[in-house]
Order: sequence, then C-alpha cells, then structure tokens
Amino acid sequence: MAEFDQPPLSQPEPQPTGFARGLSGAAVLAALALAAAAAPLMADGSALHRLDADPVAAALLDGRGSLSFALLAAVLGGALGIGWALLAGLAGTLVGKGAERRIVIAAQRMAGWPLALLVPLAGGLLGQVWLLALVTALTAAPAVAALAHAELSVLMRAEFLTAARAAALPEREVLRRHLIPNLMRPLLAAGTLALPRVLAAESFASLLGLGLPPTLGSWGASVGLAARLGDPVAFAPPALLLALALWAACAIADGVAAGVRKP
Amino acid sequence: MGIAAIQATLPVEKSGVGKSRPAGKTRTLILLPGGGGGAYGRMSHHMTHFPSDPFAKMPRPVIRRLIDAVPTAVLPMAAGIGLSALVAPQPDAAMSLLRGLAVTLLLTLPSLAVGTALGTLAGSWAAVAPRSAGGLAGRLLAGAGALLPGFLLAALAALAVRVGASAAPLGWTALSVPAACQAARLALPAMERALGSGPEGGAVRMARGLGLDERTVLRHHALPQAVAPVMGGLRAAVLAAMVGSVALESLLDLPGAGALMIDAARVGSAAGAVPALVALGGLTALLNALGLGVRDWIDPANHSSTPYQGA
Amino acid sequence: MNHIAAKPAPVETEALTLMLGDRVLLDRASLRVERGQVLAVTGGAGSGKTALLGALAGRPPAGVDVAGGVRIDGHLLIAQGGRLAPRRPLALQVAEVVGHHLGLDLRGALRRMADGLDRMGVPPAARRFDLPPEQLPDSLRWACLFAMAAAVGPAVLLVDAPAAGLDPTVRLRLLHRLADWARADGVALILAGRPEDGVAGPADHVLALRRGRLLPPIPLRAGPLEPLEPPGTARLHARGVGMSYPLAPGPRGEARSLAVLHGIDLDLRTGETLVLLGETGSAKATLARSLLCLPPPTAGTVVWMGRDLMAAATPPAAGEEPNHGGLRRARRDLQPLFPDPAASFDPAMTVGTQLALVLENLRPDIAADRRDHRIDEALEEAGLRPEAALRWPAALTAAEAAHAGLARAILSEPRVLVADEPAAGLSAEERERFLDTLMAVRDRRRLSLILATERYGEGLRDAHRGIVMLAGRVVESADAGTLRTAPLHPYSRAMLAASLGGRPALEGDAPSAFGQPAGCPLRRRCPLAREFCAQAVPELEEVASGHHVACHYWDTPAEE
Ligand code: SF4
Repeated sequence: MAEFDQPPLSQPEPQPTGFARGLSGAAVLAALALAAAAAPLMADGSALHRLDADPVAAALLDGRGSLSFALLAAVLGGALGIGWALLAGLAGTLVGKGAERRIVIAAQRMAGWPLALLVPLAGGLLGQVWLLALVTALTAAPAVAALAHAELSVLMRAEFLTAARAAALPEREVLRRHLIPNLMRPLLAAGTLALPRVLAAESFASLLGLGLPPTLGSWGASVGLAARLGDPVAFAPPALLLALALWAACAIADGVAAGVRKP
Repeated sequence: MGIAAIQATLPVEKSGVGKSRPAGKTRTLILLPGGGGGAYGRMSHHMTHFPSDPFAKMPRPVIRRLIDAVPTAVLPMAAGIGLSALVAPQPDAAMSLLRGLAVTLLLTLPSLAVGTALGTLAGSWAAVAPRSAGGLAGRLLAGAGALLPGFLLAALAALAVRVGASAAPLGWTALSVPAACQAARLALPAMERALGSGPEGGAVRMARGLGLDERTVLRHHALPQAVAPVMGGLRAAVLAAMVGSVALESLLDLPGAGALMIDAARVGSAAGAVPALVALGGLTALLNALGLGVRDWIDPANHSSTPYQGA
Repeated sequence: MNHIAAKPAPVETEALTLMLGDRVLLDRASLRVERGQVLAVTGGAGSGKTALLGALAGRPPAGVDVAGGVRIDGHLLIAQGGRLAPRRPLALQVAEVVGHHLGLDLRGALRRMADGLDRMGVPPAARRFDLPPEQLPDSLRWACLFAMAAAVGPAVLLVDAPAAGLDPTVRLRLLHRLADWARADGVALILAGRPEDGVAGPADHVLALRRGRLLPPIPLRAGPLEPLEPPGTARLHARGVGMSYPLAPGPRGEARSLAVLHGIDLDLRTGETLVLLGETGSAKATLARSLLCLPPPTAGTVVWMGRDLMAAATPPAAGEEPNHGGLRRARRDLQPLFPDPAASFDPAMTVGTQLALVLENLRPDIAADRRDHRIDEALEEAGLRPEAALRWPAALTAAEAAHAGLARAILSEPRVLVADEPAAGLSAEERERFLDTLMAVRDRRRLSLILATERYGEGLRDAHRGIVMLAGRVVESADAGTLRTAPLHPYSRAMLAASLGGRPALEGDAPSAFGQPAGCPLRRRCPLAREFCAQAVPELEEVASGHHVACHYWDTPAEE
C-alpha cells in the first residue's frame, strides 16, 4: 500500500511549543515554591500575624500550604491513576479483554463526574488533612487512569514488540528492555495531569472555606476571604499567585505530554 | 432543510432500498431512494439559503441524546430531591433543592453556550487573521485558558459585587470566560492545522484548487475541523462550569443547588450536602447530554460518543 | 509536445522556474499540453510535482518562488490526498463546486454529476452521497472527485497524486476512465504522481521530474540483477494455514469469528524467492506473519526443517519449561522485514543497541567482543555506514530505516527472509535502491525469500515463483515467468495489466472482509463470471506442470 507523499514542500510544521511552555511552567512553579519557602524571611521572621503582614508576604506564606498540599495530593493522585491503568492492563492479560474494558470505562465515566465537588464536601464533613488529600487525589485519579491506559494500549500494539519477539526475546525480557523504558515517559506525563487538577480542586474548596485548615494557609482561602470582605488589596496578590501557579501546572502537564508525543 | 432532507433519506438507503434499485439509465438520479426527486427538489429550493438550513434539524439529535441521558441525568436529580425530602432536617428541603437546580442550570447553560460559541469563533479567527482584533482576542483567550479557572473568576465577581456591581451579568460572564478560553484553546491549533500545509490541510487545499471562493472554504472546509475538537472537549468545559457555578452561588449567596450543598457542608450536615451533590451530578450529566446532542446536530457524522477527550 | 499550432494550447509555459529557498525545483521548463492530451509527470517525494501543479494553477505552495511565463485556460486542480471537507455530505460539496463553476442549482449540479459518475463507471447502487466523504471508501471518493471534474468540464485538469493509496487494479481503472474522458472532451489533463503509482499508464506523454528538469523517464529494471540460481530442496512447509479473529459474541451468545486466511499450502525451497501477490484484503501479510508464527496461525501447521514451529511458538502450559532452544533456533533462521521499518525499532534505544540485543539473543555463540564487528558488517552489507549504529530510530529517514531493518534481519545469519511490503514507504530511486540491496543480499547469502507485495511486475521480476492471493485464498500459483507473461486467472491478468499501465478488466472495488460474496470472491468484479461462480468456491487445479489456477472458467472466453 502506497501512502501519500507528505506534501514535499511543507515547511516543517510549527514546532510544538509545548516543550518550551513546559519548561517555563516548571521554572515559574519552582520560583513560586522558592519564594513561598523564603517568605518567612521577608516577614522579618517575627511572629506571623498573617492579616497584619503586608498582603504580598501573606500571599507568599499561603503558597506554602497550597503548593505542598498540591504536591502531596498530585503524587497520590498520579500514583493512584497510574496504578488503576496498570491494573486494567493486568486484568486484560490475566482475566480477559472484557475485564480490562470495564475497568477503563469506569475510569472514563468517573472522569466525567464533577468529582471536584467532593473536595469541599470532604473538607466540611471529614475535616482531617490527610483524608482531604486522599479525596483530592481521588478526584484527579480517573482522568490520569484513562490517559495512562490509552498510552499503555498504544504501546502494547507497537510494531517493535513484534520485532523483539521475532528475535526470540522472552516475554520477561520484552517487558524489561522495551515495555518499561517506553512506558516511563507516557505514564509520567499522565501522572503530571494530576497536578493542575488537585491544585484547582484544593483552591476551590479553600475558596469556599472548606479546604485546608486556616493554620496551614492557602491561596484559595485568602482569595475567598478577601472576596467576602470586598477587599481588593488583599484579593489581588493571592489571586494572581494562584492563577500563575495554575497556569504553570497546566503548562508542565502540557509540556510533558508534548514531549511524549514528539517522534 | 437541505441536510435534513439528505439525512432523512439515510435510514431508507441503509436498509438496502437504494441498492435494490435497478441499475441503468437513471441519469437524473443520484440515490433517491425515497421516490423521485422529491427530497432533492426541496433541497434545490433552499439552495440559496444554505447557511440557515441546519436549524430545521436541530431538535432530533438533541432530543435523542436527552432521552439516552434519562438514567444518568434525571434519575440522580430525582434521587437527590427524594433523598433530601427523606433525610434533610428542614421541611422544605426538596423544594429548595429543585429550585436550586433550576438556578444552577440557568447560570451554567447560557454561559456555557455563549462562551463556547464565542471562544470557538475567536480561536478559529485567530488562525485566519492573527493580527486582527478578533484574532488577538482569540489568541488571548487561548493563551489565558489555564490562568482563569471559573472559581477564581467567581471570586473576582464576588469582589466586584461587594464593591457595588450588579450580580447577574457578572456571574454569567465569570462562567462563560473559562468556557470561551477552553474553546479557543482547542479551536486555534485545529484551525491552524486545517489551514496549514500538513495532511490535515488537504481539504482546504482541495477546495481552493477546485476554485471555491475563500468564504466557502473557510466556512465549510476549515471551520468544521476547528469545531470538532471543541465539541470533544465539551465535557471538560461542563465540569469547569459546574465547579465555577458552585463557587459563584456560594460566594454571591445565590439560591442554587451548589450553595445549598456548600452551606450544608459548612455546618457538617451530610444529610443536607449529599442529596445536593447527587443532584448536581445529574445536572452535569444533563449538560453533557445536551452537549453531545449539539455535537451530533452540528456534525452528523458523529454518531458515537468519543470516550475521554480533552479531560 | 513541441508542435507549432495556430491556436494557443490550453497549457503553455515558457522558461518556468520554481525555487524553494535557494533550491531549484524546476529549471526553465517549457511545456505545452494540447487539448485532449494526457501528460504524466512523475517524480519521487519532494521532487517538486506539487509545486509545479500549484504554479500552473496560479497558487504555488507557500515559500515557492515562480519565474517565467505560464499561460493556462480555465482549470481545476485536484489536490494531493483527495480530501474533501470530511464531515459534509458529499452531495452538498459536489453541488457547491459544480454550481459555483456552472451557475447551476442543486438539481442541475447533481444531474451533471450523475453523467460524470457514469463516465467514471460508478454503478448507481454505489452512489451513497448522502454520506460524508469520511464514511465512503477511498475508491469511491476518488471516483467522485474525477466525476466532479468531468461535471464541471474545465479546459485543463491538474491532478496531484491521483488515486494514490488505492489498489493498483482499482487505481488504473479509474485513471484510464479519467484519461478517456479527457481525450473525448478535449481536456488537457496533467497527472502528477510517484513513478510507482502508475500515472504513466494512461498518459500519452510521460516526463520525469529529476533534479529540476523534466526528462523522459528511465525505464525500471525489468529482470533480475543477476540470473537466478535454481532453488534446492524444500525446507519450509506450511499446510492448511488459516487465520481467524474472534468477533464479539452473536445475539445468542455464540462465539463468532472472522476467517481471513483459508487453508494455505506452501513449500519454500532453499535459495528460492517466492512472491505473494495480492491487494488489500488478500491476507498476504497475514500469511507472511503466520509463517513466522508472529502470531501463530489458528489452523494448520508450519514446519521448518522438520520442526513444528507452532508448537514451539505457543506459550507453554503452566508449570512446563518453555521450549526456548527450539524457538530460538527457528527464529534465527527465519527473520522478518516489516512494512513500516521505522516503527519496528524501539524509539528508546539506539539502532546499535537493538541490533546488539538481537545478536545477543539469537546468536549466543558469538562472543560479546565480536558483536560490534558483526553489527558493522551487517549495516554495511545492508547499504548503511557503520555510524548508523549510533543513531536513534527517530533520526533515521524512511529509507535508512528500511536498510537498518534489513541489517537487523541478516544479523543472525538467517536462511529465510519473510518480507511484508518492505519498501512500502519508499519511492522512486530510494525504492529501487532498497530492492536492489535486498536482492544483492539474498544472492550473496543464498537466502530463501518470501516477498509479499501488491506490485505485480516489481515482485515477479526477482522471483522464482509467484502466488496470487485473493481474499485469503490462493487463486493462481506458477513460476514467475508464466505469471509475468501468461497468467490465467482473471485477477492475475488484471494485476498484470495494471502493473504494465494498461486497463485492468475488473469492475468495482474489492468487497470488505465482512461482505464477501458467496462462491468465488471475485464474482462481482470478474469479466468471466457466470451463475455457477456464485455457487462454489473454485478449487485450485493443476492446469500445467507447476501451474495451479482456482477459477471455474479460466479456459473459457468472456460471455458476450
Ligand atoms: S470462478 Fe468465476 S468469478 Fe471467479 S474468477 Fe473464475 S470466472 Fe471469475
């Protein structure tokens, strides 16, 4: 079967800028994390009465809670989602295609539910931080699982696996030499999808006053408080920082995904 | 009417009537299973009004999708309302939940529709004329996508209301901007590919080579390729709008279902919060079904739902 | 083409020069195409065909500078790929184009279109234009495009890569129909395409675009590079090889399956080259993979040097030790070439690492410090430089990937190569070069070769024997000379005609795997078909020594 010539004169397609965006996202997020970590120094190291401190320093302080919680929940959620996809793949080889399909369809269905609403609910009803982290992670897991499984099934059909079998490579070796190295990046990319999601979910819950406890501090909580009080000066810094962090998290997820798609 | 007529012939043709027609000197006949030139006669009548044609066909796929969605959309809503009647502490909880659902729907649906439509247009236009005002707006929307989550805009709206603006238009805007961003973010690269020199640009190159004028090329050959991914990403847009509307209701003290849920959660009452959550899940499914219906209506080739896109 | 005519020709260029950056795509070409004349322009990928057609049509691709004079009458350009708006019903799109050019309303446009379809030989039953192009078979889409052009009736029709990707028999039928129309209506027709795509067949004149010049084409090699040596004894035996895929269970829960390969018998002798000829759906690729047991076929046996391959390849039952030795031995002897060589390399390892892995696994007898040397040798023999081992698969061009695939296949010193369309992605000179290398390797190592391809002439020129396959069955098998000169089965004859650029005597398209007609699978397209063909699948019968045909009426002339 002859395939069409690629249009011979095509300029190289505009290079996917995703990778550059991913890098800048990572840089922004790292800068935010550093600034948040250094914030206590800015506040003179004196006792931190947060509402008295100037709004920028307060917002940076809030970043510590938001970012560390998001990181924790993202790792949890990414791991859950990847585990879910691997479980589906395992069920596919051990039990049958039907079981695999059911597990994946469950993930796809759940990814369509407004799971983020569970987070404020959990914040109000459960109240412990680690439970909150678990629920937040669960809201991101189905989407991660669906994407990770899609990547997994593309890889399982790859022609180079047939080539490896033609070289009489035992299945164990195929797994070790070919599957695992090629799975790392796509699975990691699927996992990073959890970061913007959990950050958004936590901020949403905190915004409504049902997220992280006030002792930890969170951008969402400060934004919500300022909005209720009608205080634009207190509103702007945490809102801007939150928007920036969300953009950076999304950019990282996009960038990693673009890196995987690259030939 | 044009597409409607053609669509109407489809089931008959599929059942094989079209095939059993004797082959021969049917020179005027290209697939007219429904008898004579009727269908095409009507079509040619409307030839000059092409753009308005599809409206004739709007309700059918939408209604079909809605009927399909009864178990996932209406049942949870009914269950939520029933549950709140049974377990909620207040006597009129069921009624207020019903009212709340209506408020939420009223908040989300128009803003989703308007935001998605405007965002798609702006995003596509950004690929056609990047330097024009509309193009700049499209690029801005596409670039700002992740910067502007619905709940943050809701908080901004709440702030503005506290400062003295009026609530309703602000609320709708706050919810439609993220939808527009999402649509523009998906439409812009798709449109660029449709106009570019890669394989996806084949349809546009062909149409130009066949001598069609640029308006037709853009409208019929390029734009649909930009709309398709937006339709695929509707589910994510619905989720974002749901979250945004819950934040908006709660911050602006609107009597929506989301506010009910959050208020109940604040006082730690599972009996008040869980029914509202279930009902909101049903509402999401309803909006998704509407989205799928609209997609089928815009794009008749799409009869199955694509799993997992744009999440 | 250098006539002096009173009337200006519909297409005339004078010193037409095309530049892409500082690269000359076309250097001062003067071209003249008369009414009713069919010109084919061939060239490999990137040779500038698309730019030439674009320049003639007055819309050169972005980045191409045009100098010199072009005079062209009212024209249509059918762009590469034959894509229409994917989601709009075809009838609307056709009406739009025809209506735009002729000022007709929908009904009139569709009527003219029906005329055009008659001329392209599309039976009314197949005209499903309420569907969007996405849901139509490719051949019908191309037929519609040609019919659309015929309905508009331009003075000049430019077609870029017409019907590329279709089966040769279908493609040539359509191209001949198009050329007939152009000659009858006095349309100047320019077909551009890759040399192996058969655009030259129906044309009056052929020009090859090479290094910026339009020159007469170089004829392709017609015979083997070196005279073929007679084959030895049979080593690979396949008996009753069949393949079926499970389908979703039926309405009453009964298991269903789709059989794509039906009981093939085949012997391969040492040093023999056997070509499997067939088009889409013939299951030649499935057969090739079944012979390698990748995956093992669902019926029949494959025996290599007295060892049952299928028993070795099936995963052992729980608790048993897998029979690695036997399988490894067979895999060392039987090596595949893949249709998409680039995808057959793991993107996460360099080429050299992968070759080393193959060598380590298949030839444990070679000492580790000798491996690099062996790999370099294999790469050089396959026409690459040893440095290629250091490169990543993503950095290889399609041609390099094909050669690297060949290097990997010969690394273990196999005795049989099973190649499934190994040059599918290559064009023109690259393609010839790869096939020459493959044949040189075969001759040097006295390999047996199984080559699955849809290109009849190209496959047979280097082969001892050929097998023509249709819908998972063998319809004719004979030595290559017989198949090249006097095949008997109507399908073989059509493939031969198509490969020579002639007009295949087959109508319509191949049926899909799910809609096979009862009886002979060729029945709906065959010029010899009679009623009895619907009742029984023809069996292979020996019509001469070593020549088998499966057709009820191979020796009867067509009914009038
Ligand atoms: S059996 Fe009949 S239909 Fe089949 S090839 Fe022979 S003549 Fe044609």
